[in-house]
Amino acid sequence: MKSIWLNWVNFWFRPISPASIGVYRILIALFLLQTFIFQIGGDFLSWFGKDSFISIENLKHTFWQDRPRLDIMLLFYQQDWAMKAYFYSLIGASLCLLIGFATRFSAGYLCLGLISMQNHCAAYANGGDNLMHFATLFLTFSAAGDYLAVDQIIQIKKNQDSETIGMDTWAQRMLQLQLAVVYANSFFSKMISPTWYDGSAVYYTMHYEELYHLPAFGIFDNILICRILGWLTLLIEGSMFSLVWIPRLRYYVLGAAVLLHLGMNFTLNLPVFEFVFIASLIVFVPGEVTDGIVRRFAKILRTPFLKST
Amino acid sequence: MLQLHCLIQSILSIISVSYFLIVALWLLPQNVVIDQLLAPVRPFFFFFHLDQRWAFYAHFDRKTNCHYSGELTFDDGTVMIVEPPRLDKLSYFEGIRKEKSIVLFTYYLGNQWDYHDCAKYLTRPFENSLNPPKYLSLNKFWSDIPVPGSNSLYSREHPPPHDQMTHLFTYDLKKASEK
Repeated sequence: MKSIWLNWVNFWFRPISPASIGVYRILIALFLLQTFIFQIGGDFLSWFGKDSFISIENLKHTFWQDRPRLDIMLLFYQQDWAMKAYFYSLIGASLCLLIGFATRFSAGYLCLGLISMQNHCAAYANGGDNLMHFATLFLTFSAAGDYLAVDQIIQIKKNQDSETIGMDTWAQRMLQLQLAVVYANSFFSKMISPTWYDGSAVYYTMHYEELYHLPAFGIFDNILICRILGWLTLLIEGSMFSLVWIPRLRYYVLGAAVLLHLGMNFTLNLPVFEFVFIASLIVFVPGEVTDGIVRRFAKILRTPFLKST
Repeated sequence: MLQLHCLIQSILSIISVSYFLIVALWLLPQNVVIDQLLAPVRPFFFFFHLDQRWAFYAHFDRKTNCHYSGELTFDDGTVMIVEPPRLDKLSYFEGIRKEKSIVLFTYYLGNQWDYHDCAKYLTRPFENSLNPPKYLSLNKFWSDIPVPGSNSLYSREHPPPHDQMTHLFTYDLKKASEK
């Protein structure tokens, strides 16, 4: 019994390098900025203002089914200036998350903001946006501010030790398991649909005009290729919640997942979505490996920052 | 100190086990037992948007492509064509920027997004007190995606034209503004 508990504690709380979660923090912050500034930016009030695409009455009744939801924007959605100020505060929090300043507070603030945005207008969010809200939730409890971060510099200057109760590791494990849940759900949902065996799922998805991105030179008009791609998708998604836990196979699985998401990003117009998933894979990479890669990059770029930290 | 660590680790362990147990139940095919088990936590999960479904393109029944086009009639009788954003009519970067509103029209219109809100959104840029918009008539133009392996003349890069039309609604903007 004691050994089970020790293994459990070892899995969830053994201190690990914060490098992977630190890089993940930077990537998530960049994707949030891309979404806020480039995709929502000028249309913010159209999505969330008092004259938004979806009226508040329809929202409450159809989307919320008259259940209570957390929506900070309801406090001031009648005033456009207040809504804009709130939106700019979310951009500010994303910048803080990017540089790792007040990291936990910024992540928590963004998490509440993303929950509010998704509750206020569910139609704006896709799977990538949903994953970012879970990412900010777990980043709030992580050691993301202990790597390539202003918080880290402040901590060194104050000569403070980072906490050692293991909540940082717990948060990263939660992210890993959350990601495994995402792939498991996607895998089993596809497994019960015959369209993923006969290739028609890939065929029709790739023929949706609203999702066109880059030309595929006719490969998606061939049902045999669609069938093979459907099976490969199942294989990779199946591996992403099972084989990814085996250290010897991990990098092959992660590599295959990167290729899957890059391929989808190449063919489908899903900005940010696929890149959020690719970025999230880093939580499976040991911090020491990530740190080594970052240092190699820093050496190439001759960045002095890492020398001091 | 050690006791405090143990206590925190125990609490975090309970949170993680409970969370993933609930999420697993949430994602399983629903039945009466699961429904009853989830009943106490459902309001909490909805409130904090912890409810989740990740079945990307696992279930779909749409085998058509479509676009929308509206005729906006003004008070003086002039008619103007209004169109929601269409990926094929946008530049590469505008297509990426407008992705969310393109998706809004494709997936939500007539489903969770009602015609009243859609009409208001499409006509808002043309509001003019001297010559206000009077009616909006919105049509859906669509075509079937060629059946897989049908040796169709059309392809992904050269899709069939949207030559079928369904009239969706005619919206009386004047009446709506009086309400």
